[in-house]
Amino acid sequence: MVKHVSGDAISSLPDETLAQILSKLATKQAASTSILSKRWRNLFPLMNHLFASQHHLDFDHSEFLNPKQGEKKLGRRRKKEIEESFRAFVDKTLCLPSRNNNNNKIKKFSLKCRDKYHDMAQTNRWIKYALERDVSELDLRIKTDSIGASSRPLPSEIFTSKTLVKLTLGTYISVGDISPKVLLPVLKYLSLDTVYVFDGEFYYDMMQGCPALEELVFNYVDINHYNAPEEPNCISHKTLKRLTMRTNLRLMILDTPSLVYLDYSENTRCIFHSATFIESLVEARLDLAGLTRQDHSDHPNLSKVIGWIINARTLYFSSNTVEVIYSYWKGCRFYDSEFPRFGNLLKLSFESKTKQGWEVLTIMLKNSPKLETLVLKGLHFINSTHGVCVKENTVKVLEINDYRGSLEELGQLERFLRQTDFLQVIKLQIDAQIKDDDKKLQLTKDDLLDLLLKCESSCQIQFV
Amino acid sequence: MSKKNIVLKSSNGIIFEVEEAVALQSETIPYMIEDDCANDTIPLANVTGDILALVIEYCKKHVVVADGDGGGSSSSSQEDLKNWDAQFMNDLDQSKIFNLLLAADFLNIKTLFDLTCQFVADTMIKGKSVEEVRRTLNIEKDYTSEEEAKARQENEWAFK
Repeated sequence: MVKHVSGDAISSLPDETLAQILSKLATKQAASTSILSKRWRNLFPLMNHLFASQHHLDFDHSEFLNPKQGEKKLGRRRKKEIEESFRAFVDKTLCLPSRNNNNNKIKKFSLKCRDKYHDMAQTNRWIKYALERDVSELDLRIKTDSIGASSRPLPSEIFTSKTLVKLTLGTYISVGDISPKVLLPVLKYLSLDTVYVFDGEFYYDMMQGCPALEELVFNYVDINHYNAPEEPNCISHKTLKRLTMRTNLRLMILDTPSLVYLDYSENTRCIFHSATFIESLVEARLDLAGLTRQDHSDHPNLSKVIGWIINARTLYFSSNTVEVIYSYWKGCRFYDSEFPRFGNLLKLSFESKTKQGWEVLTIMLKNSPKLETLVLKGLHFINSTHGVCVKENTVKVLEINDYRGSLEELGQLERFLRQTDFLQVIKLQIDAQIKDDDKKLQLTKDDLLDLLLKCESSCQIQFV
Repeated sequence: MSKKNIVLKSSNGIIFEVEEAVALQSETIPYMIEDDCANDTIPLANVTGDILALVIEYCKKHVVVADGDGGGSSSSSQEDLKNWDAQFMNDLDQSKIFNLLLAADFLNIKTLFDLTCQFVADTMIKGKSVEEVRRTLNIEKDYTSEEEAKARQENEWAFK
């Protein structure tokens, strides 16, 4: 805690220093200091004048668009007033009279708002102005009231900026009818969250126009609309390193031979025609679309996906992914020799919400000869009588998330203690419900100590 | 390069002898060395002894890391340094913090200045209502209610 002193000690600081302090705050809070006192009234404009290049200009109006539950709904007139004051504030803060000096540069500009049809021209002006001021990080989350062919195009200058290093565009935003010319020579990070374009070449052009790109976050939800734009179907980049994808697309080509990190979630089963990054991939997170009752066939992608991740050192399997792997293995009639071998795997995160899913763990451990760290989630779903066999593994650190202290979990822990030769540490993250109940927590801890004694184990148990 | 020491003298006459590399994190001191005789004591008329001691503590901590392996410090030591910085700031009272800010500005030590600004922003203003900020920083409200209403109107959205 900061101790108080008598007198207004902060008044001994020069204006420039106070403005510098304001530059470290969120824009809205920085501006709100203007009513502290007469002196402070001038400090926000001074900050904006001197230190915009160090400040994250953040105009976030999303709170009003999505009021939290339980908050009073605002009347229409009040809403309109707030909307107008927001637009006036952005206009005034962004459009400084002085130009062409170094202080006029903007480091980071974020805009989260909703556009009505008649607001679009003004919003586009703001974006262009930020680009003229050599912004290096641009984050635009603009909701437009209309989706479809008539929706507004974003200013094409976004796609030819020489200063942009990070660009985020979303959500349900439209680039326009014609794919813009793209050349972003220093862009390293690109996030596209459901960006619509009526020209199918856009995604291809976008990748080719960003030669320095290292990371792509790509979310896409197609819309059921008679006037829906063409779906993207290809991501192609020679040097891209990190890719995060959440889509419900059905068809995809990944041509990213330098990828080291892949985080892939699908809502619908996607058929990958091809993917080229098997050698390079180091870390992968997989959340495949789960099995439904209608599915009689295997996941169309699984053997391909396993092919990509086979050399990875770190893997995260969601519960759905584990289900899909189970059904694949069942298709192989549970022959051990049919299961892939993860020769480089050092760390595995494994979640299952079904008994059968947990059976996959046995075969995964057998086929991961270098595994050192195992992270488990959903262990209370494990079969109470049998548990799963964990023989033949090299795990040193076992982490269990959402531990509830059930008999099933204890039984499985006992199996780990008895069957694992290299285990040194068990890290338990206890479920919140138990954690808040002192009595239950004590019981849970006592059970674990009893278990250690019973197994005569020298393994350490840590609570995290 | 042989180690050379620099002697600094605070406004209340307290003498500190530090290694050159520690003192040179200040971008002001080199000019003072040039201006004065290099072997002489450098007088710092704006910085009291207790604050200068803090500045030197900070510079000593930060010079070690910048020195290791030709400047490339590992991520774990970066993490340690961050924790150290947080603890360092946390132990200070408000008047020390403001004086440290003035000293860092005067001596032109960029990282210390930034750290202190960020700390003031995070602990004394961030997440607080206007009334709370006034109380924390002991700011006297010198507005009439009409003036306050006008100031409020200027940045209306910020108060929503």
